[in-house]
Amino acid sequence: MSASIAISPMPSPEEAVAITAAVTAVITAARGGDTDPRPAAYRSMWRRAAIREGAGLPADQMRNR
Amino acid sequence: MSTSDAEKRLDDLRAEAMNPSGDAAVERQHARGKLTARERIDLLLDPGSFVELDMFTRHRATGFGLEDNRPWGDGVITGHGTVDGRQVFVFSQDFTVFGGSLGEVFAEKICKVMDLAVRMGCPVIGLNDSGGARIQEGVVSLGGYADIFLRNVQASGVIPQISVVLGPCAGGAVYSPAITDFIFMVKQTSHMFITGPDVIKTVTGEDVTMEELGGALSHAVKSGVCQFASEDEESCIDEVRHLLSFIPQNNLDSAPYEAPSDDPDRREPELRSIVPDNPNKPYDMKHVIELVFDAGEFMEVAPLYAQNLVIGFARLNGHSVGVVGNQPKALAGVLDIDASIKGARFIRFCDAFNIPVISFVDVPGFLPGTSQEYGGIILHGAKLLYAYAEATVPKITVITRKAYGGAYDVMNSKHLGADFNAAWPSAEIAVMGADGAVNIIHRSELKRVAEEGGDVDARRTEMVDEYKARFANPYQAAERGYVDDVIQPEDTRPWLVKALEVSLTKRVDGPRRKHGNIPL
Repeated sequence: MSASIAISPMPSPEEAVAITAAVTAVITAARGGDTDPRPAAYRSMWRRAAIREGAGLPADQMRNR
Repeated sequence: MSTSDAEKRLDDLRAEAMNPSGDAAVERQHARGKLTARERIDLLLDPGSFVELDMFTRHRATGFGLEDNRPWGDGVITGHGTVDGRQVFVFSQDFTVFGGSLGEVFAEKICKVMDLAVRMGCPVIGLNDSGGARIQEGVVSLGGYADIFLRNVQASGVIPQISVVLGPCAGGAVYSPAITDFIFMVKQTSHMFITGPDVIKTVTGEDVTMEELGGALSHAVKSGVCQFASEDEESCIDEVRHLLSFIPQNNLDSAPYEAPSDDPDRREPELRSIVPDNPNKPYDMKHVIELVFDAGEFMEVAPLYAQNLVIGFARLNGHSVGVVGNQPKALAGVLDIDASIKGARFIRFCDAFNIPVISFVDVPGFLPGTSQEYGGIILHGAKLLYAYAEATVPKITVITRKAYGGAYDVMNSKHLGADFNAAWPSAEIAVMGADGAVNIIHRSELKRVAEEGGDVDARRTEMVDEYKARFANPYQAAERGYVDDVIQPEDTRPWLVKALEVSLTKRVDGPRRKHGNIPL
């Protein structure tokens, strides 16, 4: 899932691709390289531990996966 | 054989395997109002995504002329593909080959995709259209069924399992779909039963048609065996795809998140007038649900069964959630045996697959009567309580009106571990309704008033008003923190969004055990 980017004035198709790539790179860098579009809670170690523990798995083996 | 000859042989074999029974058999399948096994897979999966496995398997059975009839694929098409870009495994039983009957190799193919689905952490979808066991293969086919059942049980709560019944599914064959999480059927062409109309006629003397006995509506309305009954195969398979959009790939995954299409802070003024002033007048809890969740989208599960409890999937600020609600429009929203079982199974699914549960409560209690008591409402009601209590996913409750007696406890009360509970100002959280309570608490005084020739009705009205003022409101519960807040109805969506989003990192680490003992 990706957010739409409105560019004005209307660029050429090649310019649009280049601008979109640049903006995406800036956004990704701002998020520490994370491209996951979901809210930060989904990337929480605490949440991942909860899910693993719920399945009867030890939470502390997450880093080995 | 030259390379080109070998390649041509492969092409020829593939062509043969793609249509093992010939065009006449396909026409007969269409004449029954059914699609072929391959047409169903094409509808289910994203175009071009299907990768078939075991196309060249054939049965090894002998006797009854089977050795002379060994169609490629042995009557079931298996493989993997994507639905909205997400991987799934699928098997599709081919009724045009031996009536879709299950033999040793047929079962092995299903077991293989089930094993792969568990290994890869992907849902498995079974498209069922089978006459049952391949009798000529004897006990081997029975063993094949049991091999599938074992895998169904082992995969339960690990990967979502979906059964789509698109033809006959009878005898022992029903138990594989029964173990899976959801069953879809099509009116007129799908039939599930343990024993068919002829056997029933012989044993009990009852006359019943196939459709009455095991049709989609019978199971969607009466037995609760199937959750979805569609008009045709196309809409049925479309519903399967829709369902998949709400559920995760496996029990270590999160449900799909969709960028929000609705304002999280949207206040909904219509909610303010939705609860009638008269506490005995019904309203539609589904309408409440549609007003609260993203873009009014609600995929109801089992809409025709136990309609006094509404269950289904929705999104709240993009997060997939399971919704449970008492329905005042049906049996005044009481809990009965069917509703308890329906709710419990749904909550357990949500809990197994990390889907938060949001409950809307308007429950006057449990349905009284000998049929309920003799039918085991004690045991079945406990299932719902158990399911709520054991669930470790985020659990959030909104009490819209009545929350009476034991049913208050059961419906995701704070005491059962709910994370956040709110009540509308119209909520009545009490041991019972005012009329019943006054008749018990003030029985002696009302008797005395009657004996003294006083106006019993006027005195009872005073007592009812006094009781209502004291108990028929949310503030006694709020005083004790049993509800975290009393909110205006129009603020329900923003309140729920905030409650859900702070709960997304919920972590509960209970005591270790092999498994609990839910009252079955």
